[in-house]
Amino acid sequence: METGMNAAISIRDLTVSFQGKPAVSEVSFDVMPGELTVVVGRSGSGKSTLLRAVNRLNECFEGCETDGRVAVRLAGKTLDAYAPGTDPERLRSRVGMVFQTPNVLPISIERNLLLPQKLVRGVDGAGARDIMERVLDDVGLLDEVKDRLRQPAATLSGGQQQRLCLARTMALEPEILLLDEPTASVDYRSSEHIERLLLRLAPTLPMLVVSHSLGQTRALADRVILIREGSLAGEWRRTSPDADTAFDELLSSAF
Amino acid sequence: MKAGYRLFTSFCWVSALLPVAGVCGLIAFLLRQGWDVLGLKLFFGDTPPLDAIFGFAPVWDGIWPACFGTLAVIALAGLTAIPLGLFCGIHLSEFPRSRFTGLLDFCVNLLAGMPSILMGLFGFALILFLRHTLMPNASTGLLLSGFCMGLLILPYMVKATQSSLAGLPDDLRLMGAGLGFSKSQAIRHILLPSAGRGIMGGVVLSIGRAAEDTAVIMLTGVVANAGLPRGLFDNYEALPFFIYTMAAEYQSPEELQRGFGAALVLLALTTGLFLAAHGLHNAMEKRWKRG
Repeated sequence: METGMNAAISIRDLTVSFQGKPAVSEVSFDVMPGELTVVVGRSGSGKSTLLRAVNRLNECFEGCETDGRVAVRLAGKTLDAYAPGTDPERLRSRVGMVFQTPNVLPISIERNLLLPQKLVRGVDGAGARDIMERVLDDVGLLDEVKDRLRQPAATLSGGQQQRLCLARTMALEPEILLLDEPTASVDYRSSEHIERLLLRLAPTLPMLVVSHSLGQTRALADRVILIREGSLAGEWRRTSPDADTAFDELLSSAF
Repeated sequence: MKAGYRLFTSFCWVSALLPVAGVCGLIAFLLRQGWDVLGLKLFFGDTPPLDAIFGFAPVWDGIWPACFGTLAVIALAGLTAIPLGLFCGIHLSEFPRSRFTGLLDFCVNLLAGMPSILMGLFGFALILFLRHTLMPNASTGLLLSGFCMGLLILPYMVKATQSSLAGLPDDLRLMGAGLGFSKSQAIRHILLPSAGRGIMGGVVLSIGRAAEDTAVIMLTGVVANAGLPRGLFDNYEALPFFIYTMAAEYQSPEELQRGFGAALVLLALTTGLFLAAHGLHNAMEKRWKRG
């Protein structure tokens, strides 16, 4: 068992319940820096709840109770996410999250990227525009939208909207990234683009990704966490001996 | 099945056409009865218009003071009810449910069902109470009418805000929180602008109600021939009261016709306010969307 000392995310005995019914039970694992960890499991197994427990987003739902410990490494220090003194808003601004379905604001493309920067980080003006162009370029959207930045974000295609959501999160320069099936509702090309970006970011940005795609999991994961009915049901590491066979066995038991 | 659907569709069409026909019929009737009397004389009588507008000379035989009084009551009621209703609606929709929110919801529903004459009586009783206790010189007037009218339209604002916010998808709330917005930032920058159209519906409904209600103002400060009010505590005239007195006590066909003219003016005034409210909303929405 890892100690969690240097882990980017350390989860210990995590139990999350809604109206007294557990969605995640006694889950413990670490996400190490430079490692892309993918959570897999059937629909309704508690993957998204597990992901939302890291940035305390489950608290937005009524009747949610969380037990156990979640610690994240931010600015070189370990922060207990559920300690009484922890500010959930600051935690969420440093632990970025991209949701399964694109949820752009019903405002212009550029304002989708500028407003969060202004409100969350206090960055405005030319500095915010530079960051906007950089993240749009990172997600491969700059060429597609540079002439229509003031148009409503809702006019973009589903794949473009999801990349915009990823860019919006990246613009806040998070220290940890949580992605809940980021390519579930996008086309093949967008999916490929997002996967390439995640692989490029992984060495410097710790990531916890929920995925339903076996191909994507195989391509991305340094480590796989299998969740079944809210509990940890198996693990896989790319560096383990006989990794290919172990991967197949884990995934066949998952689905 | 097909005949049933046809009957259903026909019923929907008839139901949709009836309000349109009703409004058109009403406007045509008012225009027919009051068109001839529309003119500067209806507003200012024999007083020169500029003197009347700036209060240099009193208007004895025109509805200008009543127009001013109605606008003042709407403004005071709006100032009371719009901010209060907005924050109350936010509390009901966005704060965790508790015994207090249950009580608040019940009180707002109770207030919504309260007849306007009771609100007028409340204002009148309030003045009597103040005269016997803290303020012996307290009297009915513009401020009291505005306050009581504000209470009357408060539930419209609360319910419009509450239902518009509650109707927003949970994804919007989750997105704001996920980006690290504080609750107040999410409400101010995401939820309220997204619910703007519904909230504006509440504002329009409130303006309309404040413009037309007569029962509240009759007991709280409106009088015939008061002229322009000299302050917030002064008595005033109002268009619905003018229409009521003209319709109930007219001495000649010309007086009744002036009542219809005043009704047309009231209709135009509320329509103008609706358009201004929509214009303001559109400008705010454009600014929110483009930055």
